[in-house]
Amino acid sequence: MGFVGWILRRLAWAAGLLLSVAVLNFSLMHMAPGDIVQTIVGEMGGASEETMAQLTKAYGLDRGFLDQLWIYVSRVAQGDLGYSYYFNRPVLGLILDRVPATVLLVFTALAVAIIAGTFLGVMSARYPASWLGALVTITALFGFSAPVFWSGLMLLLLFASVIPILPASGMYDVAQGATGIAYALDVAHHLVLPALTLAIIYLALYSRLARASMIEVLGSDYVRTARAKGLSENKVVFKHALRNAVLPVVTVAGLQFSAMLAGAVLVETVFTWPGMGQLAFESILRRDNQLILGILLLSAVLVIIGNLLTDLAYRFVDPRIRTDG
Amino acid sequence: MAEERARGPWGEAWSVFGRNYAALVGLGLLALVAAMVLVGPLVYGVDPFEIVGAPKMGPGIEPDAPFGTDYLGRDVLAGLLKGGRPTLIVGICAALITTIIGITIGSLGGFYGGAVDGALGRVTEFFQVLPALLFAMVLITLFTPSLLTVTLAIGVVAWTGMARLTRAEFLRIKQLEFVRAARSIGASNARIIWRVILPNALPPIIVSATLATGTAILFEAGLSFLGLSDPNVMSWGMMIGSNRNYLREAWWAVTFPGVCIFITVLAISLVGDGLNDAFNPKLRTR
Amino acid sequence: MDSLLELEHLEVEFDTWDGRVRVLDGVSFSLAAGETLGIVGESGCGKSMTALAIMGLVPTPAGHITGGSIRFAGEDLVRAPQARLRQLRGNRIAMIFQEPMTSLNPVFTVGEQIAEAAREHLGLSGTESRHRSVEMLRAVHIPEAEKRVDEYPHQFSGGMRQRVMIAMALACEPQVLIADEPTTALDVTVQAQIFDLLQELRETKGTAIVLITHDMGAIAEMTDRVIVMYAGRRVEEGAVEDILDRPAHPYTRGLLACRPQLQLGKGAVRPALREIPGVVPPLHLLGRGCAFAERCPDAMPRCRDERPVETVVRAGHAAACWLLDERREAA
Repeated sequence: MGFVGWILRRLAWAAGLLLSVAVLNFSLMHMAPGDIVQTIVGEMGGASEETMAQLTKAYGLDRGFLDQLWIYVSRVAQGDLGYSYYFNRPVLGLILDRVPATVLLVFTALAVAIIAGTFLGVMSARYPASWLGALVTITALFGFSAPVFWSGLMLLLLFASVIPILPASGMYDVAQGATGIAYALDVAHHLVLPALTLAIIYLALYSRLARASMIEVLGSDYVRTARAKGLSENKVVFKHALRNAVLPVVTVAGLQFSAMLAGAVLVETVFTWPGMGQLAFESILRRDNQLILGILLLSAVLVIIGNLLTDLAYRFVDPRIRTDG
Repeated sequence: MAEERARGPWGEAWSVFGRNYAALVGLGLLALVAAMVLVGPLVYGVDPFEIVGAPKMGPGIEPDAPFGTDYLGRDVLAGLLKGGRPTLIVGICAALITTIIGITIGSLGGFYGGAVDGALGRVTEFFQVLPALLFAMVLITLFTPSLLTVTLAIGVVAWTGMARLTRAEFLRIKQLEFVRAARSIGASNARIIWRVILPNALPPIIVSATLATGTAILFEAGLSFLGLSDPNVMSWGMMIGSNRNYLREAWWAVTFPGVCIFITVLAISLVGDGLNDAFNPKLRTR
Repeated sequence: MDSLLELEHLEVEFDTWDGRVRVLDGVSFSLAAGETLGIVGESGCGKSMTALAIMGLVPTPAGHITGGSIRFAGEDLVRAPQARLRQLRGNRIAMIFQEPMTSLNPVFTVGEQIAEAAREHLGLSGTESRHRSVEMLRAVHIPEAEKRVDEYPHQFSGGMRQRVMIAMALACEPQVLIADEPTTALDVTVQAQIFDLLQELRETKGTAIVLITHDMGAIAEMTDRVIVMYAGRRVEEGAVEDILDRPAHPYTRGLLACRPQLQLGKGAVRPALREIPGVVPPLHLLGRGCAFAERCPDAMPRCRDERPVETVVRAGHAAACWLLDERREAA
């Protein structure tokens, strides 16, 4: 009951946010110098007055701003994100073609970062005198300080040129034309470098966070209670402490979702990974405004979905939130 | 102990900072980068856009271009020295903008609470949902790429963290005794915000602003890497971006600018961490 | 009387910024099966550290047991390996803590937290240990035990949580229960209920209890024998009546005077509350003499120079104070 209400509240909140995203972006596009007709005419290399007038009418640019905004928003509400002049295709389809690649990349990187980061952090808190603590500190500094596109290029140099064991670009080998499991393996092979590159930044963040929170939790009263029960040190650490220590990691992971998409734009560009980020970059350069608007909106949708998933995960891990409704 | 107390919290923080080996290394690196970027181009007067020799010449081959040449035959060293300026300027200015926006929104929300906080919270949430880099890219292309638009774009998309931090600090501090005391003697809201609460909220804000400079530099580098910055100003990110297709043949033209960005941001985060430890006596014993 | 748990000259030291500090200095006592022993003293006197040392939970790496012995049923726990201590902890010797609000893990059900010890030590299966949890919750008088066993700690009140802690400690029917200020964080009415519960459990299960407290009322009500600690040292030991009625050490007298005493009869009901001047000294600043000398109303020059030896006042009643020595010499 509480759960359904919670979901409904969150959905209403998401809809409100998306509406504001759509309105703001549309207004920005409108405010900016130049419009779609000029872009198209520029690409065509000039056109007659008549053609320009026709185009202006076709894109509804002869109407007032509020009219145009209303038309845009009501179309979006019906799932029509517009039309890409460059690809000559509806925007929604274009984006949806690219979403899986980005989601695959981001989720793999996120999973690697959370699992490896938590593990590193927890182990370094569990064995405070070992070299693990230094490793966490160094990873954290590197991950925070190295530009993601550069570390990607360096990995590329290392694993695609110096020791050529991984593919340098793309998502699959076109020549191979593999299907089924072979295709999945091929994609996985291509995924290693981009996902690793993206994971490094967040690995740094999560390992540091997990370490700090683990150290705190290990000093807590309930961990002392668990020890007083005669549980083995591993049970104390991995059962009683770990679950509490991951809570801040989960929280931050959710907040980082939007930053992760930003990283994905750069990583996709470095590795020519055919995802939304690359599409966004190209369409920004081409000033394919309808496509840009669509991508911004769908990115916001992805971020919101990410936040919802985080909240769900949090509710799963922390009973205090679950049962309070 | 008594001696330390006499210096006050800022003096004590400074003395802790001075004993922090990593933070001092960071400060040293930062001085090195600053010297290189400020003095370097004056000593080494080669134009980074000028073609000085054969393209893709490795470092150490030609004494005229000790760090090699890029894919067009431009001097990599000239780019390294000159390319730090826009990166640092944009980074610092953008961080300043995020700090100003963040402090304003965070302090108003935290201080007034209620409807003001609700509305500002919505605005913050909104900017958190917007994909920051994409949005900055759009802003920059819509209003022609220049150092100014890049700085503004970064400032506009990156302030949410600062606002959340400031708000949390204000919520915490406004409950404290001395704020109530200030209120009871009739201090105005503006005075309480600026002269009473803000100075006490400064330590975490300073740490966060330091780290925000690092983030803004990475942000600027990313945008220049994508070619979304002033095409007439050489920058480290731009060097990496324009040479990345020649990574195999001219790795130096990609590697060295990246090392510069890395060292700069590393230095800033070391200093930031050092400040954080200096301001947090609780963590010192760890 | 056969002793179940026997501490002899236990010494625990801690590495701190001010150097090595002796937090327990020659603490001795013995506890017979089914007996209740009280340990009293102000905060920082080493009461809790004594408990942690018995449990083998002296915080590492800063703390070490540097001398003495802890014999449980004849076995020296100071020299026993960690694995052996783990077998005993929560099984033969159990402990409940001061803070019921933070001593339970927020992310597991109370049933799971009670059942865990039973699975670990008694080898019960999942279903068996769950039955055990329900049974234990009933034993500590938690209503609707079958339902509440699946709830989380935050759904319980402070007093209820302390009951859960007791249920958890008793899950393996230990021979010794150490209760470290079990009621300090609770309301007065709830305190009485918890003490009643501990009394009842001792009578029904025959558990020996070490009750750590600074509440003389609880000592009077609950215990058979008492040791008084000050600055990591035992300053007095005796039967509860002797300690309460004929305290031999000035510190014990001070503690007793701190108790609110209701003066019934005519006039106002006004508690005559006194306190011992000063605070427990930082351990690294202790001199050669008696640790209490600085605060003692009757201190003599000798008290600051020489550490007092224990003097037997009467059968089973001894205190470490030079005044007793003087008196005996004078007699």
